[in-house]
Amino acid sequence: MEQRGLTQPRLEALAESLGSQVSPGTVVFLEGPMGAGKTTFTRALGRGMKLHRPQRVCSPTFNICLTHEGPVPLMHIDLFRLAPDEGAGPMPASFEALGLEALLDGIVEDEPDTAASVVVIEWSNLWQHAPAEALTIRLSRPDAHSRDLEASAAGPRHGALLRRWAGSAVAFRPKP
Amino acid sequence: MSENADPVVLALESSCDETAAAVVRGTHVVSSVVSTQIEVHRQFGGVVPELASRHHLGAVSAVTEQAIARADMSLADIDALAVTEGPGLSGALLVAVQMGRGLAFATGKPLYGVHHMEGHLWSAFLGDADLDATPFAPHVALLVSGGHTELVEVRAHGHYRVLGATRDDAAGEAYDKVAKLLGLGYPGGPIIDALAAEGDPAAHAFPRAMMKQPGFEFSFAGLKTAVLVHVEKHGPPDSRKALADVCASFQAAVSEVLVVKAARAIERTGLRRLNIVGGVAANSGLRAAAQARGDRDGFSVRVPPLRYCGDNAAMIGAAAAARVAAGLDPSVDVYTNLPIDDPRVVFA
Repeated sequence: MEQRGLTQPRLEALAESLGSQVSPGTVVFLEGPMGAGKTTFTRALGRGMKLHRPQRVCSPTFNICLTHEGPVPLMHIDLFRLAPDEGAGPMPASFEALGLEALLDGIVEDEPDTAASVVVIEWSNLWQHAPAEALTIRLSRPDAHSRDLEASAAGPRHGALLRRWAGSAVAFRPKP
Repeated sequence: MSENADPVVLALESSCDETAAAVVRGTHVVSSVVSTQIEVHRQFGGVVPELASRHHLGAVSAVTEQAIARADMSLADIDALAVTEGPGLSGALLVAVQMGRGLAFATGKPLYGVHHMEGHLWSAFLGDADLDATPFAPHVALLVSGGHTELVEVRAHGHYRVLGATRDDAAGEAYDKVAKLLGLGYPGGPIIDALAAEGDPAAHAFPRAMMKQPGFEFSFAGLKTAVLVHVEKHGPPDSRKALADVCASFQAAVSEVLVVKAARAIERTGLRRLNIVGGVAANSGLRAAAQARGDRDGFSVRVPPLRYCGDNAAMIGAAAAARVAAGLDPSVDVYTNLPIDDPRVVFA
């Protein structure tokens, strides 16, 4: 799926729509440069998931993982600080040492049916044992006021999710 | 309770990047040892991932021994033990929690779990050999760090209400990311703060988000993106003056939003004290802006000395000592996610 020239309200409506369609075991790899709108997207997704306190969704860059309670919990992970990037500062810990994989039972074992949470992960390329099946969403900023979105899926479960989401997203297509 | 009757607490902290231990008597810091990953990496001239992953584990025994030795005490002199129990990554939290459990088992002393942010609240009241401790008083706390930006109404010890928080980036995170996009080093806060002192805060009109909306929410992602767009449009600053102007303008935007919202919280709650705590409380621009506003509006502004702004164990010990004095039962667990107004934290 591709959506170009999205305003912020349109981007949020798309994310909220996705949030209403995810289920335990859904894994979203959220990609895009700084300022692309990743936190904004996740916050709106949390509203769609009917999290108890979607207003508490914020950037997990520093804390690396923030969990949000709801009918289905959301694990919001950002591995940015693990990047071996000059000037980015020291790596706080390797992925295994963070204790994240224990929280991700079912998902890291590629048994999404046993998973309890929805996972949104930024900078997932730094995840050593990332699951093979996921929805990948790429955000970019063509100019200061609009965003482009590209989505693709791996695996039947996430493929079906993408088709449902894309179907419901037709209404968000910008007018020519 | 007289000074000498205040409980002596040995506290450990490993919830984020720092591994720390301290001995406190009430709010008086007897010793405080902090081992930061930055220093560890600097020794090796760069990032050493394997070292980082084991840092907490490798450092916890050494900082604990140092804290006891510098306090000139033995474990027998300790009344209670304390550890940070959340929020944080379980792998990090567990290092101090397991050390604390081991010490509690070996010594029979009670072990108290403390919320990391409750510790920061107590950092404003700490004293030591060079500084008088301050009695706890009701206040509005502006908690600003790499991972948190929130305004908390603190009516009493144990009575915490989050008035508002950031909806995207924390203030400290915005500093780090802007420093990165300007090609400056890590951590970004002190570097931008120093450059900002040389620049013109009115040089660029960066956005002040959420200022007009009622309430106490913050947003710094748009400001970060505005600096990014500025650099894309005009190119990276080509002189020290140009760089200082960008830093000063960015810092003015951050400080103004934080101070305006904090002043609004003071007005709303009727409390007359603002305490600024957390790593970003070290920022001189924020301190000056808050003090100026406090002088104008007639509220007091308290900021811990630099040594207690960043993560440390002394603040955890002081919070635990207050729990001991309040007669609360010791308990400890590991909470990766724990808001400061969670029922497991508040008790007043």
